[in-house]
Formats: sequence, structure tokens, C-alpha cells
Amino acid sequence: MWELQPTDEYARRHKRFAKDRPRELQAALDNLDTYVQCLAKGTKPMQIRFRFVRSEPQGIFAISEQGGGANLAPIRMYVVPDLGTETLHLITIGDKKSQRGDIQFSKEYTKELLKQKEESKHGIIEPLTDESSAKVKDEADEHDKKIQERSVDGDGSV
Amino acid sequence: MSMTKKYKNVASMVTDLSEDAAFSEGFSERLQRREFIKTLMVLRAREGMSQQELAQQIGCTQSKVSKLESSGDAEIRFGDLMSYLKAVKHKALVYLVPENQTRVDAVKMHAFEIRKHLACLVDLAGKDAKIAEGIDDFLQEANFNLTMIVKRARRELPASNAKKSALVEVETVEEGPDPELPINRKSRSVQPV
Repeated sequence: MWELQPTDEYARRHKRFAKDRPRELQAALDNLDTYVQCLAKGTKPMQIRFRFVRSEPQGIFAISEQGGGANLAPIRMYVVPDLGTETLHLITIGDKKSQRGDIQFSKEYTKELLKQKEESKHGIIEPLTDESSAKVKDEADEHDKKIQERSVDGDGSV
Repeated sequence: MSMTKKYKNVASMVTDLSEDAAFSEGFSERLQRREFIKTLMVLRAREGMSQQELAQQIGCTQSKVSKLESSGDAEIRFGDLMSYLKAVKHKALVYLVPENQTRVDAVKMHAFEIRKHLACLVDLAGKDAKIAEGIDDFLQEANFNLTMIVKRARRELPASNAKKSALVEVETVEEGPDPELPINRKSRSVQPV
């Protein structure tokens, strides 16, 4: 039985998007719901072929608002499915502007998750603590800042 | 919000995380409007098909499939539904029931359906002892599982201890010859599925 586990960062941004971009967030959540239903039916993450799902490095998937209505601004939800514990980690959510930093944050989060999994005696993923999550967030912010400084022409998208 | 909090589904997560009740209510309504369409999409994903591949199978454009999947349940055309289902190797079974059908009526309706299917299985055996043997195995398995389903439901009732003790333990036992099956033979042990 698949369960969803949002990070604090996801929860924070969810609240912000619900205010600023409610239509986009609803569309992305609708797609997330379809994605979770596929996992629940036993479909492997790599087999799921929807236009709104994009594969990112390190087993991360980006779920967009695509197909959710007309004239929606692009947003992406970054998730990582853990087949062992049947947990879908909702790492963060962002728009075009934050894309690079979001991917970096997701990578760092996944790296930490795998590290904790390896360290776990029973092979079970222990949830990230607020402290380790904050560290990952700081590193991603720092990376984002550097990218912004280097960026000459625009939104820093990949 | 604790980081370790887990949710059983997206709707419950949205309700918990959203500060604006109108947002989560709107989202729940959206899911309800698209419940059936989303089931179709899950079937497509299980077949590992893209929209383009599905469109080729049913002889339409990818954009038509995209439009169908973006719509609500009430907007789908019956013909499109049939074509979609066929492409994902499924078929539709439609039950027409009274609007005020109760749960009890629904259970009875499905019990009659089961009886109908079992009768078809018995007919299938004809005079073939080998097929009858296989069907008999299945019937014992079905007997066990259906009994267990009813027993579980009864156990979950908020009954008093006295009533609970009055529950009859039903077991699958070896019975005499089944007059509806073409050959009598010894039953085998039954394992739940």
C-alpha cells in the first residue's frame, strides 16, 4: 500500500502555491493522484508513461501540471518513489524559476535518503530529520544562489 | 508538520496541508469528477502505452486521447470508451441498478451473479471428469474464501461478547457426491488464496 511522505519544504511550498497558483497546483496534484494510483496497481515507476511525468537523475521524477487545463503556468513536483517501503517522497515543488535549485535540492535529498538506507541495519529508510533536511536545503540554496549569480540571461532553467 | 507524517492518498494530504478549505474541497470535487477517466489512464499505464500508441490502436489522433484524458467522466462518449478499453485489453461490464439500491440489495445482486457464474462453470464440465476435477478444486477454494469474507464482516461488527460467541465457525469439510458434477471424487485440502 503506497503512502505519501511530504518534506517540510514541500509542505511550505504547497501552502504558497495554493495561494499564488491554485489552478496549477490542483492540476499537478490531480496528476500526482493518477501517478500514485498507478504505483498502487503495481506499475513500476519507469513503466509509467504520462506526458506529465518526467524522469530526472537519481530516480527522481518531476510531475507537472500538463493536461490539467488551458493557460496554466508550468510547475513541477519532485518526487522519489521508494519501492522497498512503498513510500512516495514528495521532495519539493516549484516553477521554472526555481527549477535548477529544485532539482539540486531533490538530488541532495535523495542522496541523503540512500545514505540513511545503507546505514540502516535492516535496510529500512529512516525518515530524514529536520536537521539533515535543513542542511540539504542550505546546500541547495547556496547552489541556487551561485547559479543566479552566474546567470546572465534569464530564468536559470535547465 | 512533522516530516515523518505519511498519508494514505493525495486527497487526505491536500486536506491536511491546505490552509484554505475551499482549495481542498475544490480538489476533492475535481477528483470525483474524473474518477473514471483516471482509472482508464491507470489501465493505459499498466499496459505501458503512450497516448500516441493508444491513438494508433484506436485510429485517432494523440490530441484526441489527450483531450479525453483531460476531460471529466460526464464528457466521455460511449464509443470512445469502448475503443479505449479495447486498446488497453479490457471490456466494460455495465450494471443497471435502481437509484435507491441499498447495500443489502447490492450484496444480493452479486450473490445471484456468483450463482450464475458457478452454474456456467458446472455446465462447462459437461461429462469431462478432468475438467470437473479442476472446477471442483476451484469451488472448494471459492467456498472457503466466500465464507471467510462473510465471517470477517461479522467479526468486525460491534457485537457483544455473547453474540460473538454465538457466531458459528464454518469449516470446509469433505462432502458426499455433488449431484451437479459429473464425477464423485475425494476432496483435497483447501488453501485460502
